Parts: sequence; C-alpha cells; structure tokens
Amino acid sequence: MAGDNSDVDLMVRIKRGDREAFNALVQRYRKSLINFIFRFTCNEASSEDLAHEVFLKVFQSAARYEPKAEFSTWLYRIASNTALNFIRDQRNRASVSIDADSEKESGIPRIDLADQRVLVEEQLIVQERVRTIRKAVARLPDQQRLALVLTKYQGLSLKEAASVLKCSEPAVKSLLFRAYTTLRERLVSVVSV
Amino acid sequence: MDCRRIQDSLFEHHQNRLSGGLTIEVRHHLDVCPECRSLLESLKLVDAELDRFGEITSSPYFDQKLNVRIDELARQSWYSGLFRLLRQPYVLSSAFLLLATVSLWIGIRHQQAARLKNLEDVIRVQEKYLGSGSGTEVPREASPHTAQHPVSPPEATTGQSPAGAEQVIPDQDRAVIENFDLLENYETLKNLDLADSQASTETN
Repeated sequence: MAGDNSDVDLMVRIKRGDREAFNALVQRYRKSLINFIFRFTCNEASSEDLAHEVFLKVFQSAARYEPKAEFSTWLYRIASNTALNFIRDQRNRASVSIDADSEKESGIPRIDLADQRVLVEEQLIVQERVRTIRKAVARLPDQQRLALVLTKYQGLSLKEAASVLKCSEPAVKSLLFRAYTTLRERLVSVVSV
Repeated sequence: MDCRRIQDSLFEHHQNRLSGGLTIEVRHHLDVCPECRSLLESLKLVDAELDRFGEITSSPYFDQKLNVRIDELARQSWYSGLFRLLRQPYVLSSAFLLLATVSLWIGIRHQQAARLKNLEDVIRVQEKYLGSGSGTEVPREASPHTAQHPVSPPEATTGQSPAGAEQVIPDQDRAVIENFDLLENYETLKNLDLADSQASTETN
C-alpha cells in the first residue's frame, strides 16, 4: 500500500536489511537526485556515478538513520556534500571548463518545425541559450548555487534548504537574492529588462 | 515600507511565499516604486531562463549497477572489518606473539617426538643386536654428517646374536646404526663396541 511506504517506513525497513525497500527508495528519488547533481555540478558524465555514491552512502548509513527530519532533507544533505567534494576535487586537479564544444548538449528541448533550416537555426539558438544559462549557474559560488538548485529545481522550502545547508532561513534568502542578482548581470544578453 | 525591506521580500513574493498581509504591502509598494518593480521583473525573467536549464534521464542500467556495487560493498565490509581489527597494534602484535609461541611449542614437541622415536629405534636395535654383550660392528667410517653424506650401506654384515648364530641386519635397521646423528647414546654404543672387542680379545 503506497500510504504505508513513506520514506521513513522504507528507511526503517532498510535498517533491517530489506533490499526491496532500498530499491523502492531508489526508484522514488533516482530522477530528482541525478538532476540535482547534474544542475549543481553541470557535469552530466559524472552525475550518475555521484548519484550511485549518494545511494551507497544512504545504504551504509541506514543503521544510523534517525527519523528526526524529513528524509529528503537528509538525502539532499548527503548529495550536497558528495557533489561539493566532487567539485573541489575537480578544481584541485584542473580548471573545469564549461566549454560549449566539450559539453554534451543534453536535456535541451527540441523545436519541431517543418522547415529544416529554421529547425537547425532555432535549435542552435536554443542550445546556445541553454549553454549560457548553464555556464552562468556553474559560475555561481557553491553556496549560492546550492541554495538556488535546492529551492528552484528540487522544490525545497526555505526552511528545508536551510536545514540542508546548515544555516538560517534569512541566510538562505540572502544567498538566493545574491544568486539572482549575479545571474541577472550574467544573463543580460538573454534577459531583457 | 522602504525599498530595502521590500527587496528583501521580493524573492519570496515572486515565489508566493509571503503571508497575506505582507503580500499586500509589497504590491502597494511595487505600484509606486519603479526600481523595485524593475527588480521584480528581472527576477521573473531570470527565473524563466533558469526553467530552460533542462534535465537528464538516468541510464536503464542504473539500478542494476547500483545493486552490483552494494553487493561488492557487503563483501568488502566483512574483509575490511577483519583487517581493521588486525590493524590495531595490540591485536596484531598479540596475534604474532601467539603464533610464534604456538609455532615454537609445536616445533619443540615435534623435535622431542622425533628424538624420542630415534632413541626408541636405537634402544630397539641395541636390544636386538647387542643383547648381552655381543653386538653388531658399527661402521667406524660413519660420521656425524651422515645425514648429508650418507654412507653407502656395507654389505649385509652379520652379527652375533645372543644365541651365537650369525644374523643379517635388515636395511631399515642399518640406517639407524649408520646414521650417527640419530644415535643419542653413540658414546655408549662406542664403548660397548670397544668393550665387545676387549671381551673377544680376552676370550681369545
């Protein structure tokens, strides 16, 4: 029964070693977790591997899990730390270039038009626009980017985002305001005010 | 309400997260303040652009690969638990000490058993061939290093049995006699041999 399989119920079963419960949890959060990591790291190639790591950590930490807060908050906290560590490792090795040529164009909506030339041209414009947006988001400071992705894309409330980021709600609001201000300046070419 | 306070609330207002009373205040301010109005518009436009970010889909083998990694993790955790325990200094040194002690004890016991067996063999041969005094002539060319350079067994020597009849020494006993390394009471046997020679001389 779906009502009985809340996140907390599943985690309690996972604590007892129930792999079916774990698989159900993975099914429930797989898509949102992968996309959270993708939007935060702007690295599609590593998103699945990082998502694997997060789920592995959830499985290993199940014994210590206490249902004090929302499971999603706990999950995103693990995911944020994992993604942050990945980004820091990437920075230590080499500068990560959000280069248009090296980045795979995924998740970009395609325009269905009759005229092939218009289709290609429109597609290129859309791709360039998405590339610009992703680049702008990738260049935000880590905390601002985290706050943005958690509230904008993952739908977390300010309170939940504050719990993930381990800061206060006003601090999250401040991070978001600064993120939007920065994006407004960087997206001036596509955002006409 | 001043612009600073309004701008602090603009983001929540844009996301419809403000309380009813505050929403009305913000709207009233926006009606009269072009700067704050412009700021709200830019927030909306940025939001609209962020909606174009796009998303990705997971591969069809995501769950399968994850389960493989979890199985591997379960296998490793048993080994790593054991290694973690052994990495503890006192555990490792205690284990080595115990192993060394047990090995030493086994070695000593084995050596004792081997020497005891050799001694039993010697005594058996003594009893069989030396008996009341007459005995086998022990090859004098045999040396303590016979084990490394075994002396080729002489032709079946004969000895005097207690009854006086000649007796052939079996090969398995010859090795005992010839291998002076195994003979615990070699000196005694030598003395016996010498005593036997003297006895024979006196008899003659």
